[in-house]
Parts: sequence; C-alpha cells; structure tokens
Amino acid sequence: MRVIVLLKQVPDPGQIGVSRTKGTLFEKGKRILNPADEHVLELAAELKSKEQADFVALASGPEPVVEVLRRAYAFGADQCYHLVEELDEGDHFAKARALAGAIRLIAKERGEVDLVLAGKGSPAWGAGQTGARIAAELELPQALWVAKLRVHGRELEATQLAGGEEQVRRVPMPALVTVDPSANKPRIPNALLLMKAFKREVKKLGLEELGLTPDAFAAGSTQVRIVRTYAPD
Amino acid sequence: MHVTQIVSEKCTGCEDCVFVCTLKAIRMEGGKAVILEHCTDCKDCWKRCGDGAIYSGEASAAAAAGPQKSTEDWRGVLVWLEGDDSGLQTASREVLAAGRRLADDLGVYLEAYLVGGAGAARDAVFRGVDRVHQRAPAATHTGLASAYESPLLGLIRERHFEIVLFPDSLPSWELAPRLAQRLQTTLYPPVSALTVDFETRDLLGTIHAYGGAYFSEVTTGGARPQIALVRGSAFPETSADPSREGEIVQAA
Amino acid sequence: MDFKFTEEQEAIREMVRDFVDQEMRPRAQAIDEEEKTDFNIINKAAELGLMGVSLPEEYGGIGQGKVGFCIFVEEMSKGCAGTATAIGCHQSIGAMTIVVDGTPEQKQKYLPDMAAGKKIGAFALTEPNAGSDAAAIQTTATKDGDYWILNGRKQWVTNGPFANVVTVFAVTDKGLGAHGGVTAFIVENTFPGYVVGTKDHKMGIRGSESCELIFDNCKVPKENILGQFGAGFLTAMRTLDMGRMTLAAGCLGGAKEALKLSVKHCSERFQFGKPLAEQPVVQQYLAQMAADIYSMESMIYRTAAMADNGQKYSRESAICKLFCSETSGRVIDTAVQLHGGLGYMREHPIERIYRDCRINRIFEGTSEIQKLVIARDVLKKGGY
Ligand SMILES: Cc1cc2nc3c(=O)[nH]c(=O)nc-3n(C[C@H](O)[C@H](O)[C@H](O)COP(=O)(O)OP(=O)(O)OC[C@H]3O[C@@H](n4cnc5c(N)ncnc54)[C@H](O)[C@@H]3O)c2cc1C
Repeated sequence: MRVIVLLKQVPDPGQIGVSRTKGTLFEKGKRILNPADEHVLELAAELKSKEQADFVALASGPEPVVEVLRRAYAFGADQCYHLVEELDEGDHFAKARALAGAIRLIAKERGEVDLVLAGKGSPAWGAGQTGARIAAELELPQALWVAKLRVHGRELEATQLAGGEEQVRRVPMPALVTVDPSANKPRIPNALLLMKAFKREVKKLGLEELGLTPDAFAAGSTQVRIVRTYAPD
Repeated sequence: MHVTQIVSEKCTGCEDCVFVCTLKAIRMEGGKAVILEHCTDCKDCWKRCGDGAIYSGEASAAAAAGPQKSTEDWRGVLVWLEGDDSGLQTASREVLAAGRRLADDLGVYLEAYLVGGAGAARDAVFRGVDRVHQRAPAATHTGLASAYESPLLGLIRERHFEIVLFPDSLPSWELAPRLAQRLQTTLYPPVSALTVDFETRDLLGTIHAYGGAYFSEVTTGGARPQIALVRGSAFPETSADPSREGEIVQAA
Repeated sequence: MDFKFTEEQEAIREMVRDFVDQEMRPRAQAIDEEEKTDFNIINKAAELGLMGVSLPEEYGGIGQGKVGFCIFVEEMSKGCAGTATAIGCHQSIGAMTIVVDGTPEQKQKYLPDMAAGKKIGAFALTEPNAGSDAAAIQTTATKDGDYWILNGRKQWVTNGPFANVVTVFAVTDKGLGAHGGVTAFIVENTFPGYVVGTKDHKMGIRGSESCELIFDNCKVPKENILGQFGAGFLTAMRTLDMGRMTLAAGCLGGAKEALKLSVKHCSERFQFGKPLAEQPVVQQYLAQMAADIYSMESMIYRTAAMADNGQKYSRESAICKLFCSETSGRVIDTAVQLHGGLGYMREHPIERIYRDCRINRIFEGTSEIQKLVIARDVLKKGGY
C-alpha cells in the first residue's frame, strides 16, 4: 500500500493581525504546518506500521514550505516531495491541478498510489476544498471528514463525521480521504527522527516537469480573490 | 471564436489596448480589459500591451472547456436542494432564499437541482424556484459524488448558470469542489452575505476567517460559473406562496 | 557573532515543549505530593529519545551538544523541576562521566542502554563528611586481583534509589590526596555489596529521588575504572562543568515559568478596581524579572556555545551556576510575592516552584563554592 499525504503550510493563527488601513491580514510570525495535517501525518504513520504502507508526503508552495516536510520525516515518512510553485493561495483550482500533477509524477516514479490523504481544512477558512478537487482531477473516489479509517484489502471503510453524525462509507482504492481531527491524537515525534529529518533529502518538483504551463491554470481567473478583510466589532 | 485572452492580474487598466483596437472588441470591466466576441485575433493589442497581460489562449485547455469564454455566456442561478415529501430541508430553504435574491438582482431565472420527492419540488416552487430539476435520491454507499456529479455537471454545462449555490453541508463539500474543478472555476468558501457587482456580474461574498475572528469579502478572478457554499442561518428563508407557479422537470 | 538557534535546536525545543505540556506539567503537583519519580514520564521520555539528548549519536543518543541539552533542560524545568532533575541528572552528571572519560568499550557497554533509558545513571561524590570539601571523601577502593573492593557511604545521590549505573568516587591512595589519590569507578547496582540506603525527604524537587548508597565490600571489576587511575577528581570536575551549566538552564526554565504565571495572575487579579498589572510597582517587578531572565538566558547559551566549540568553560559554567541559581531564586521569590496569599498555598504551582528552586543554590557546588572558584580565577588573572 502506498499513501501520499498532502501537507499545507499556513499562517500561525496566533500570529496574525489585520491592517485597518489596507484591509488585509498580515502575518507576524513564521508559518506552521496546518494543525489539521498533524492528524493526517498520524494516520499515515499508523498505516505505515499497521499496513506496512509506503509513506510519502507532498507539499507545494514557495521554498519555506520545505519545513513542513521535515515534520513528515519526523513522523516516519519514507520520502518527501516539494512541488515548488508560487500559485495564488486562493486559487484552489490551480493548486489542485498542480498537486494532482505531482501525485501522478510520484506514482510514475515510486509506483501506484493507493491512498491520498489530506487534512479536513485550515484555520483560515475552515473546511477545505482542495482534497475533493484533487480527487476529481485524478478521477478518484473520495471520503471526506473521516474520523475512522479501516483497510479491508482493496477497500476502505471510512466513518465520516458531519454535524455530530457518523456515516459509514465503503470506498474502493485508490481513493482520496480527508481526515477529521477527531480521528486521532497526533504523536510527539521521536527526537532522533526529528533530528534526522533535517538531514533527509526532500525531492524538488517543478511545474514544468509536470507538464503544466501557465495555460493550465486558467490565468488566475479561478482564484477566490480577497477584496478586504476586517475584524468584526 | 477568438483566442486572445486577458490575464486579469497583470492588466493595469491603462486602456492602451482599448485605444489600439480598431474593431472596438475590447471593453473595460471593473478596471480590467475584457475581449469581446467579435475579436479577430489581429494581435494589435498583444503588441501594444506593455504589461504582458494579453496572450493567446489558443493552447489553453481552460479556454477550450468554455468557462473563460466570456462571462456573458453565463446566465441564471442554480441552487442545490434536498428534501422529502414534507418539503425542503432547512439549509435548502436558506440556499433557495439566497439564490432567489441574486436571481432578482441579476434579472434571471432561479433554477434548482433537487434531490427529493414531489412535496419538496412543490415547496421549492412555492418558495421561489422558477424551474426545478427533480430527481429521486440515489442509493449510494460510496458518496454523493459518484451519484450526482455527472448529472449536475451535465446540467451546468448545458444551461451555463453564472451562479451555483450549495448549502454548507457534507454533501455539498463532496460535490461542489469536484464540480468546480471540472468546470475550472472558483468555489467560494461558506458565505454569510452575497451581493453582485452589477457591471461585471461577479459575485461578492463575505466569509468567516479564523473561526470568525475576521471577516473577508471575497470575489472571483472572473471564472464562471461562480460556485458558492452558503453558510447556515445567514439567509432568512422566503415564505411559501402556494399560488406561485414554476416548472418541475425530471432530472437525470 | 550569531545568536540564532539552529532549526534543529528550535525543533527540539518545540518538541520538548509539547512533551512538557502533555506529560509533565499536568502531573507536577501530584508528583510533588507523591514524592516519587514518575516512571511513566521517564518511560515516555525514553520512547521519544529524550533520555539521550546529550549523548553522542553513535551510542544511540540525539547528539544535541551542550546548547541542545540546555534547551532541553530549560523546557523540562518549566513543567516539573523534580522530574527534570531526575532526567537531567541521568544525562548530565550520570552518563556524562562515561562520555567524558570512558574507554570505547565502556561507552559501548553502557551508553546505548542509558540513551535508551533502559539504564539510569547517577553520580556519587558527596559523603556525610565530604560536601563542599569533596576532597575529604573517605570511601575507599582496594585492589583484589581483577577487582576493586569499595567500602564507604555516599549520600544524597540523585536517582540513587533506582540507578543502574553509578559513577562512584573513591580513595585509591590516601597518601596522594585528592589529585592522584581519587579514582572514579563505574558501579552497577547489581554488583555484590552494593546497598541502597534510605530515601531522602526533601523540601522540593520531589519528583527526583535521592538516597544513601552503601558500599559494603562492593566488588567492582578492574575494567570499570573510569578515566585515568587516580584522576577521578578531574573526571568529577569536568563533568560538573557541564552539570553546573545545565543546572543554570534549569534555573532559567523555572524563572520563565514563574514570570508566565505572574503575568497571568497580575492580569486577572483585580484590586483597587483594576488588574494588579496596571500598578506601576507591579510593572517594575515584572520588568526586573524579564531583565533577569534575559541575562540568564544570554549567559547560559553563550557558555553552552563556547562548550560546543570546544573552548574551556569551567569559570563560565561556575558563573552561570552562581548567577542563575541566585537570580532565578529572586525571580521566583518575586513571583510568590505577586501572587500574594495564593502564592503561599499548596494548591498553586508557584508555591512548589519556590520550594523546587531552592536546591539550585546548594547542589553541584554551593553558591559559596562557586564564588570561591570564580574568585580564585579572577585573582590568578588579575581581573576578568
Ligand atoms: C537534593 C540533593 C541532591 C544531591 N545530589 C547529589 C548527587 O547526585 N551526587 C552528589 O555527589 N552529591 C549530591 N548532593 C550533594 C551536594 O552536592 C552537596 O550538598 C553540596 O555540595 C554541599 O555540601 P554540604 O551539603 O555537605 O554542605 P557543606 O559543605 O557542609 O556546606 C554548608 C554551608 O557552608 C558553606 N561552605 C562550605 N565550605 C565553605 C567555604 N570554604 N567557604 C565558604 N563557605 C563554605 C556552604 O556553601 C554552605 O552554605 C545533593 C544534595 C542535595 C541536597
């Protein structure tokens, strides 16, 4: 079994502010791994030990994003990939297309991918859409907001959590799953793995390698453009 | 059909291209240049643009698929509804209300893709839907996407709705992002207020950021259809008027 | 000059902070009542590799060097100074003797198990009649074929009740005195004649257990001589260089925790119609605490970086020990004061922290002894 974990780097919710004059959010501190993604890493680490899964992590974005991949290595990832791109963060269409391209390339390099895992959402906008978008790009079935995941051969038994209610889905692999934070308690990574993570190689990918020219991204028309941000009074 | 395209982020609104175009095939919309249908790809504007904002969309998959053709080709509002014979679900009634308001603002019809029985379809009409595409719920173990994705996609592609609204619920999260990806367009995170820019017909929504610590007003980069999730309890329901008329058709 | 921590060091700090938040701080008050080292925490620390932060990588440690180790101890000491003492002592004075002076065979034999937390280390120098005057130790070692026979008593040995590997300092040649006449031995708790004495009842750091160790014709194989024969005192002093600096890092952690609690309390406690934090006198206290913390932090990490660079740091570590134990004592005393009556109540952590920090001016060389050491150096050099 091969699992690809999608990781996102986000502004630290405790380190943001809003500029009154410009109406924009600004970041005061370093970006962090999306807190929801810690649960994804934990699930992948569990699949690695229970199902002997090959644990691959992928993150996309500018250079500092590589930091979140160190966390994946600390959780025991076998290989990490960094798709270097500077697409607009609100352009979910473009991000999903790029990530899907990267997943295809990784599958070519390492072998078929059985499970793509992503977090439920991020502090900024709550639930996320990129997971399901990638599932569409890759023509994969999906289970979202999964609180419990069991593997039965080539099939996943996914317990989805919505509005406090549980719903069990059976999804054939390959599939995409987004993980609800209630799924697990992320481990504290082992100190030795944490230190070794700094020495592990992160493979770099570029959009050109994926065969994605600027044309593939609908010229930014697909972004959610923020006009103004303000604090409620 | 022309292949000339504007990269709206790069367009500075200088209007040089409008000036140089002898066919008057470029118009300014919201401070950005827009290429009109009768453009013949003479390339005069390409050469003139100092900002690299004009390019050939010939090879672009995006242009071929349609959404970026022109915003003018997209008209009408579609809402996703769920209900049973006793009527529509609460979240559906709220989405319907939001859609009705936008349809009135834009002067277009409100249509609905309804998963539910005849009672729900009547409820939808009474509350303001002009045309209901009704279908019975599918028995699904693998998720809604597998059952409703392609019929819905087919309907949107056929009818070219400019706005498609979903309630903020798991079924919507399963469907809407997939549709948005296939249609190469924007999906607005759950919005609590919705207006349109009358000139561009762009949707303007208010979303909650950081768990409600901040609000952001967001809009699209120009793509169509504009798909949005509608926050619960943000839009007061319209009242049911049994004398209201509308069309109910069976959907795929 | 670059005063930035490396990414690795930041990562370790964050990780230890998570560990402290989840496993240590919530248990600190209960551990204080129980007066027992919490092996649940020790075992979890071991699973995470935290029993070997200071130990070299080739022996299963994390190889974090002195700066990394100080970060580790600082963070742990915020959560529970007692447990931090147990874990810190194991790695600093416990295993460090072997790291500093052990043969490759000794390192291979003991360090991997110690790094994995399977064996706990301790350091036994102090005796009933030899405290500050460590040279006055009376425990003897006499040769008997392939063995050395130890006789004597050590006291207040941190981790003594459960330690598996203890560095014991004994007189091997009375005539030669401290320098030349004292040898260090690696003693396992399973050696015949090794007796664990009564456990101490302490004012603070109760998550750390100490006791008397009695050597009653204790048979130690000759290959367990640590370092050069007769040079045990050098081993002790070199190890204490590291121990003292680490101890200072513990003081820093305690002071930071005290300031954090004080800021919270002073912001929430209303008297005279406003939070205490709005009183100028209170603000002066908080400012002084912050300045004290900054000076401690500066000297500790500067010294640790010197040590990592291979420079000699005996004087500096003595200064760190003296300054930080005294200063954190003052900071924590102020914190109790700012908490008023609440600060005197057993239910509030600051009361424990106050008791916990008192030891820092005493063990691993009292303040007076540090002054002695520093003054001797200053007088020799004719200044700083
Ligand atoms: C909780 C705890 C844990 C300990 N753990 C260990 C351990 O793991 N291993 C170990 O070997 N030891 C350990 N010790 C012993 C500790 O290092 C000694 O207590 C310390 O070195 C002081 O010795 P003393 O207690 O005999 O005090 P004393 O030496 O009797 O000193 C009493 C007072 O006189 C002062 N004084 C002494 N000599 C002078 C002088 N020349 N000039 C000025 N003032 C002087 C001292 O500073 C002190 O204030 C521990 C002690 C405690 C309390």
